Amino acid sequence: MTIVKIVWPMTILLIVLTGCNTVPYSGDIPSIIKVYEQKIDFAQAGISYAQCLNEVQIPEAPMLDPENESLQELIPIIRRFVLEDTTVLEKTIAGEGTNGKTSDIEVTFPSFLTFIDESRDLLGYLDRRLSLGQMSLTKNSADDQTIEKLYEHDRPGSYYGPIFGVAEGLKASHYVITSSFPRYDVSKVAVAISKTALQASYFSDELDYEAIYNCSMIGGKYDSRFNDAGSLAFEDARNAVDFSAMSVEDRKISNRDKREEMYQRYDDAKDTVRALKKLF
Amino acid sequence: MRCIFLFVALVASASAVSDVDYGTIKISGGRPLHQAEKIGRYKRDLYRKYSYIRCVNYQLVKHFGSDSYNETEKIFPADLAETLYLVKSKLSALTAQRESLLLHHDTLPEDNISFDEQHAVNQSQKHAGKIKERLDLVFDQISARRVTEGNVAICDKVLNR
Repeated sequence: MTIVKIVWPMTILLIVLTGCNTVPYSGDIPSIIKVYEQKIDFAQAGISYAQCLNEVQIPEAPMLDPENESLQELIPIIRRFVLEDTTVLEKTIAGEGTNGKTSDIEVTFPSFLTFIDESRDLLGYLDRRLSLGQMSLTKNSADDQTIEKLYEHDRPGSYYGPIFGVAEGLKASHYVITSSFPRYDVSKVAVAISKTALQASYFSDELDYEAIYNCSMIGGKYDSRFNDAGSLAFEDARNAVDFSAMSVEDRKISNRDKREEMYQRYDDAKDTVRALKKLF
Repeated sequence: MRCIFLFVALVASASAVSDVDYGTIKISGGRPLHQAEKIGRYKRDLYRKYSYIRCVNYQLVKHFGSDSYNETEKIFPADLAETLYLVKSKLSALTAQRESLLLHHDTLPEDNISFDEQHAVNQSQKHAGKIKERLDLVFDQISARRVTEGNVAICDKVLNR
């Protein structure tokens, strides 16, 4: 009993110190398989969504309404990102503090199709391990270590830098479908596209907004990962548009906006103090 | 009873102070983020009216076609188009200005914006004020008429009324 009293608080402390997210996985093969199956499911839905958007005609000429301009910009981005391998130049910093050296590295983000292929290879490898009775990754297998590091890297909030150098003999793009990188947050962009299309339908008919919105229908059902309106069909979703948050830009919650919001509260407080001073 | 009265007076006074009068521009001056926040509020108001007018215009053209819309409604799409174009450009300029102000911090005294930058902000606000006056005229004209033809009623949603 005394041992439990000592060990349990220490375990809790360890969980807090190491971050709760790291505890359930830690090389646990069934957990990794489950997560990758969910990712494959999302990637398949993403392909269906992007292929549908591919059918929507987007004029090249500049458009008048800001919502249309936004759709004109976002739709090709999401199409390219989901359907094509994308190579970008990234700056990495090796070393710490001001002594760190920067270098440019070409990083290829796999298309969702490539990601699915590679993930299936990974799942095949993990399945073989499971069939041999191995339930977790081991430290004495180089392949296991690589997978663990790739997996660790791929969690929200992490950055893909650490995988370079550990994935020897493995292409840098392997398994890097990174929802942790906001620029490439497919669901977020898709939701923005659907909302903007609904909003734009009040002002214009230059694009086929219903077709754009209906791309969020995956496997015969509207999918909230791509529209944020749940199962509502176009007309109902259109009637449910909330114009109190008037623009896509205003809906974004960036650090800047948070900072601004903090300032706003401070500002209101100042106004109230000023009002009180006037009264007394 | 006196306390209740005092409380009501306090609340009314505080809310009156926090209202921003967009009829005349009162944005210039203040800490960078403070100015950015005011530009944000100003922009939202501009965008809301701009969107309402676009919606009414779109619904009327859809219902009447642009020719008969001229005759029936005495609101001229060509005039509206010019106003809307000006407002859109100004909205983009205000967005860029707000973004630029948001790059500053309000925690350090030395992080004030430069004289030139402040001058540019002030000039832009004056210009925005003129465009807003023009937009307000159209907005008042359209919203006072309470157009019932076509599907214009749907545009009330844009104003949240």
